[in-house]
Amino acid sequence: MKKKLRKIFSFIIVAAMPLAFFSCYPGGVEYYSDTDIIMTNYDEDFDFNANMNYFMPDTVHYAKGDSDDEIERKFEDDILNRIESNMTKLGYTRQADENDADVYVVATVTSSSYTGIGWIPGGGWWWGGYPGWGGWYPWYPGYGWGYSYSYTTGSLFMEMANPPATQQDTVDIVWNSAINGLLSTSDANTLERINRNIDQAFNQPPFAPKK
Amino acid sequence: MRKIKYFIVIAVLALTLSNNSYSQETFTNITYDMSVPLGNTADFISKTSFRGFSFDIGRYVTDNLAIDLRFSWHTFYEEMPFDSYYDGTQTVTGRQYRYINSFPITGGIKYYFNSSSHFMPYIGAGLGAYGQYVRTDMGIYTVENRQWHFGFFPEAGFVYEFSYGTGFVLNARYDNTLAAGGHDGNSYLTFSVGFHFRH
Repeated sequence: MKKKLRKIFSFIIVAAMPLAFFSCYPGGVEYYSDTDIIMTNYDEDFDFNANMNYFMPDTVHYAKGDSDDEIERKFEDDILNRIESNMTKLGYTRQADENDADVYVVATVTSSSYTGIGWIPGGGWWWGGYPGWGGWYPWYPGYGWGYSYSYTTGSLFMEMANPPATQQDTVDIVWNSAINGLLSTSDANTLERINRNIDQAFNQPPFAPKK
Repeated sequence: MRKIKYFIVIAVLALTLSNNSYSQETFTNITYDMSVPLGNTADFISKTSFRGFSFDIGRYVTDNLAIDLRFSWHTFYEEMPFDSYYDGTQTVTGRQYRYINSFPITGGIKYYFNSSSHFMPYIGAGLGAYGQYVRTDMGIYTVENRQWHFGFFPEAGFVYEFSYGTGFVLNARYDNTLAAGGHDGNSYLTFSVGFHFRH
């Protein structure tokens, strides 16, 4: 009897052990800002200090991506102002006429509503080459738990192009940045993150040393 | 991998066929495990894991010698600060959440120094297959490597039987896995405390 009780007791403990784990992926994001990432890349052969005049359109380009959602345009002026203030801090001068510029700076905004897993950074239409970061895929929220989910991310792309001397179909992108994160329902929170993340993009190589 | 299979088959046969006068008893150890990452595991996640357990079944081959099969689950986790990561001309800045889930399935031997007493210190060793899932979340993206590794361990501990056939077990084990599939192995030191049942 005692032996049988001991066996039952041991099996109860065995069954209870995995429950104590609850999840094999503890922790994780708590705030919208925890999902923010800022990626930059640049052409190491381009002399950023010798081309200090830039032209930037007065509007942000909007791309729908894989979503039919209307993209919010209310942060357009804030985005352009923040880019300009960062360029000024770096010593660049904004030119009203594109013919006076050494480089063009263009900002693009997109939103994507994810209803599953499907988009791989590095393979998207916009990125065009971050081979070292292949193999990443969206996980949030609840990846691996088998239920369907939907969420919206916002992305801001900033590109610096070196216009060719003669008319061509393509231009050389000498610097680009992608800022991505989950969109929050608070405008104040979103704007604060946009400003902070634009600042961060200009605080990475080639405009700032590696830390 | 083939060697591991042979080892497990031999261990199972020994468990089921062993039939001398000392080898009638089997035992079960169920422990809560705390693991300290070492080496390149500590480079990836430096925090001690407090999520782990082991389930160990074995049979006494002689009064002093036992063989056993173990299944464990150890989860390591660390939230990294908001930081920049560099690869050539590329920079990615964000907060990383890093995870390692390790699932050792091993066979081993234990030698007990004082088997006729309530207090039985022992040393042991073993080897087997370790499933190891190494994952990094950053932004809304994740990358995960799932790989089975060959691994081995030495261990030392003691069993204290407070009544016949029932007691506490406490041990320390160094789990070490070799590189496989282009992925580094992992190593960590586990301290286990739990129950020991002799059947």
